[in-house]
Amino acid sequence: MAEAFRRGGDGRLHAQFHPREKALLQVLAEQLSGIIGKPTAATATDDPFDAIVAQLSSEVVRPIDDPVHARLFPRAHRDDEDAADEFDRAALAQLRDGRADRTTAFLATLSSPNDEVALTVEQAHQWLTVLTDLRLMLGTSVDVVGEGRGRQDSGVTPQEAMYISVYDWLSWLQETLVACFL
Amino acid sequence: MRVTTDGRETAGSKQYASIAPLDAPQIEGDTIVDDNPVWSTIVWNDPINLMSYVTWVFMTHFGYDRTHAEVLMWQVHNDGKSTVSQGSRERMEADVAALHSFGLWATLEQGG
Repeated sequence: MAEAFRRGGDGRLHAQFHPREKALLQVLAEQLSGIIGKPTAATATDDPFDAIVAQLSSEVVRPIDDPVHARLFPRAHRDDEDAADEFDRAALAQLRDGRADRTTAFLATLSSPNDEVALTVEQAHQWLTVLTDLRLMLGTSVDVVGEGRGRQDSGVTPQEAMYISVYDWLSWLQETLVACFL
Repeated sequence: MRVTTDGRETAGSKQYASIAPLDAPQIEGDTIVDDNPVWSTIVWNDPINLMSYVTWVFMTHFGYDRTHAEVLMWQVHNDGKSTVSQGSRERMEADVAALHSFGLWATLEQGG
């Protein structure tokens, strides 16, 4: 079973994982990547027309009826749709690319064959935000929190029970990592 | 016109730094006045983010000390929302974008 994050004498953040736990984190992060979407491709072109096309294609279109995407990328203005659209045009692609890059970096730290994960401070900060995104993904998909139905004894499907277990495990893992920085 | 209140550090928000010129308050008599309206960054309560994590985000992004960060976190938790920063629209847009990248539910609005 996983062991909590602790700060090592080398300044890195260390935790132990069972290979199946790393595989679980990997599957979840890949699912997250699919929701975030692909980062903007690097565009090195001298052709102004190509540059305009690249610019247009890099704009993020909000998927319809995707509560997880909507929670990961909240609208910046509550009562002003035009201002919120303007914010999206200015910031959404950059936010998407940042999320995609952090998730890729998170996956890279899981690729070592060792049970131990040893993170630099920068990698640990990436982990904190990706663990947040994973918990937002699960917590928005299934009613796993608070007084909701998912916490009641009756009426919880086996799949929901599994989501709740994974969500609680991610919460514990993130809590141990945040504690290293407070 | 109102007295400018925008004087804090925004450590950690460099990647969203605005290219807009800094607000240039004018001095009339001995009062600094600023024609630019003040905007606020609001963080809303959500049932998912850990309280410790929200505290860490406020410390990391704004450079707030732990005591102040925890006061704001408890406001979010108990009151449903908290005004976490105030200043020009450009700076609040940068704060909101940064908080979104941390997974917090933040919005901006005009007024203090």
